Amino acid sequence: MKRFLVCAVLVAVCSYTPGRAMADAVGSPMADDVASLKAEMAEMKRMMEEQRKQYQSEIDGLKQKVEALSQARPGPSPADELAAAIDKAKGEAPKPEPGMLSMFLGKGAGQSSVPDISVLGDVLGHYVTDHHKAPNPPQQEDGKRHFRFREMEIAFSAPVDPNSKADLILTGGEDANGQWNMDLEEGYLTLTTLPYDLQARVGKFRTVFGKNNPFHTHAMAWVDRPDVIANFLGPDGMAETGVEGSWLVPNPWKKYIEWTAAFQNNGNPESFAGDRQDDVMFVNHLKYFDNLTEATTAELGGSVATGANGDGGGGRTTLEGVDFTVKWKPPDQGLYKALTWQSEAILSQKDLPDGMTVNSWGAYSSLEYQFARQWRAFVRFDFSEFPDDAQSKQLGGAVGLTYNMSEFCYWRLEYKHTDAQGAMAGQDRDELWLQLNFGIGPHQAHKY
Amino acid sequence: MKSMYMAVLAAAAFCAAVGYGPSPALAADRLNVVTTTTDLKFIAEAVGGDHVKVTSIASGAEDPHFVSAKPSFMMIARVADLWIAIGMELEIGWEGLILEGSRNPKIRSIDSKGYLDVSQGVLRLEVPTQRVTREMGDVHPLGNPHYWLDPLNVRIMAKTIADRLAQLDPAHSEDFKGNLKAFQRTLDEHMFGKPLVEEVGGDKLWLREFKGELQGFLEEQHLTAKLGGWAAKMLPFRGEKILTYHRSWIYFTNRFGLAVADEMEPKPGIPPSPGHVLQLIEKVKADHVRVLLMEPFYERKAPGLIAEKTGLKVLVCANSVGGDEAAKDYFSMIGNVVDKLAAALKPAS
Repeated sequence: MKRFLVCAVLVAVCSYTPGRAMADAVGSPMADDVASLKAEMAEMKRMMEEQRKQYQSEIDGLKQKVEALSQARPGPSPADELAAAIDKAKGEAPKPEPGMLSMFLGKGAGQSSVPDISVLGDVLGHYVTDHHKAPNPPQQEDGKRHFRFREMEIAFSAPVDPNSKADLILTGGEDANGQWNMDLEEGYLTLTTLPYDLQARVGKFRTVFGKNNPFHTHAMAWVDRPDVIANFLGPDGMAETGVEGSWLVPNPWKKYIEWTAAFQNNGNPESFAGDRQDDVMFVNHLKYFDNLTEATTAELGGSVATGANGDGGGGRTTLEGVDFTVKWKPPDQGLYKALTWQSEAILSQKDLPDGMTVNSWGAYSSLEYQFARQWRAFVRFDFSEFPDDAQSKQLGGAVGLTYNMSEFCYWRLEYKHTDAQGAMAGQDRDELWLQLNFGIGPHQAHKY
Repeated sequence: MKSMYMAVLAAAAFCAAVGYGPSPALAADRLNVVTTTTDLKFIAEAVGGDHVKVTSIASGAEDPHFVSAKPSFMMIARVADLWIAIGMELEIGWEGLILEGSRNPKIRSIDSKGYLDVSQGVLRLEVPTQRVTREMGDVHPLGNPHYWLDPLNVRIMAKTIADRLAQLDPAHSEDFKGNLKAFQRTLDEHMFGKPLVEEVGGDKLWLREFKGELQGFLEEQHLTAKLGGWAAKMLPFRGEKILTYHRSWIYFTNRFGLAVADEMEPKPGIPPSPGHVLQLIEKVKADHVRVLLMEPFYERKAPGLIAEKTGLKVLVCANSVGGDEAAKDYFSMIGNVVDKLAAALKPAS
């Protein structure tokens, strides 16, 4: 800067020197000084220009930085904008209808705090040929020609806490005389978070013995239970109060193997003590399941139940069961085609008061074919003796047709002929049923 | 009897000893993910990469409403670290049985980290605002659950899954983020075409598409010629009315600007009656409907009858990965539907 001032003063002095004197100065020492000063001034100008350019460059750089910073200031990126737009749209979207129950319970008290409640109705029309009518027919149907509301099932289901859930199933229905009876078919707590693949149930539950017994009436493929189930476990199957544990058996082949063991009251009247129950029966069931192909599965089960039978003398009954089920359902045609072949056999050893043991057995085999989206047909063969009488036998066959009006309502027609032998000879029967089954409310899906 | 019990106990002890031992099938650092559908499996595999092993319960060939809750599925779920579901009650008939039967505390509870209902993040359509009864057929009270047929929802689903994988396996969260970005980029390129995505960016394009401003934006920026992918193929057919079998294509038609004139099912889940088929024949003629879009798992008789009487083209397309030969992955599945629709709706030259 100092050099710049000196230079400026010199320029000013030179500028005010008379022209004559300047002219005289040319070629003199003074003229040399002027030339030197001019050169110095030119250098100074060049330097100034360089500095100006440098400053301009720095300013431009700063401008660019400011521009870049202003562009990079925190603000919505396209991704953020998209997310915000989606969130806004979701916020403005209509909310699901809360349901009538929550409207009654008030805002915030949704149906989630109320158990799933479902009601099922099962109505039968039943005809038995009079000339073959048995005086004391073994089946639950009494042989009259009539309609009856066989079953009304009210089911409640909900988690009790993070470790358990409860199921209560009340069943009522008309008996043979048209009287209504209501009973607790099942009511149990399931412990769902036990370690080592264990689960437990406590309460009254359908005994896990064989394939058919654990299923409720409305979930069966037929109107009636097979004779062997009715004769050995009861017309409605066997359900008693007790405790049960089941274990998903780990295995190196990663196959489904389930072992169920239970202690239940020996109140079953067909094979055990009935009203004279004073002990428990011990039940075991082992189930193996495998996929044969993508469409075909196989299930093999073995069961044992043993307990005092109340016939006096400390007698016991032991039941052994074996069941085998094959299902075929091609995934891409599964809405329209399916086949189920289900067979089951029960062997019984029942001690009688006279010290004798009755060895009896029975079996059934059923084939059900779904041939259209709403239609299924079945055929079933029955053979059964009786826990107390191996001489009396029933040999039967049933055919039927089911029309699923929807997922929640079906009609079923079944014809069955039963040929009675031994002590029951002459008590053959022909039966015809028309069944209507319907359900309302959220009902739990049935096991495979 | 005693010896039989002893034999059973010995067998059980053997199984327990071997079965509870270390599993060689699954590396310790891989998450075992089980999805209810193949579409979810495809997304989870894309986002999870080498850090996940994914198994789907449904095969893609069946109606996902009616999957059988086979006990073998419980064995698959038994060892799952994460269960991913479509939700909105699509799996209501079978999911609970499998989860309960699995006895796996990691996934049993819907509020656990191991349970992911992907529908929580997506854009829903047809959410009922009135009381739902079965009189309406199989109407889902939480809305139409076939949301994966909207590619924008798949973008959201992928992020939801990536976020949950990162929660369960934080050590690989950066990998999941990277995989998510790559997956979304591929999806965007299929939707809008690669050149346009490179020039504008996927997020920006989806934002415009979501706001219904895509066409205007492209015209304004002189980019219309660069639009490619599914969006370009379906652009000429906006407003076209089509027939569907089930109310399952609404997300697809909504995204690509088609209109569903009617369904083969008179009400969701109710098979077509002869009377309804006759009504549809009249409707197809009156509305000049040219195409019926349906899944492979539905019967072809009633659609064939309508086609015979009206000249309607029946397009059978999978709506899930693995549902037919063409649906090898999500991109080819949607691509197949787009190509078939474009070919069927193209005016005869």
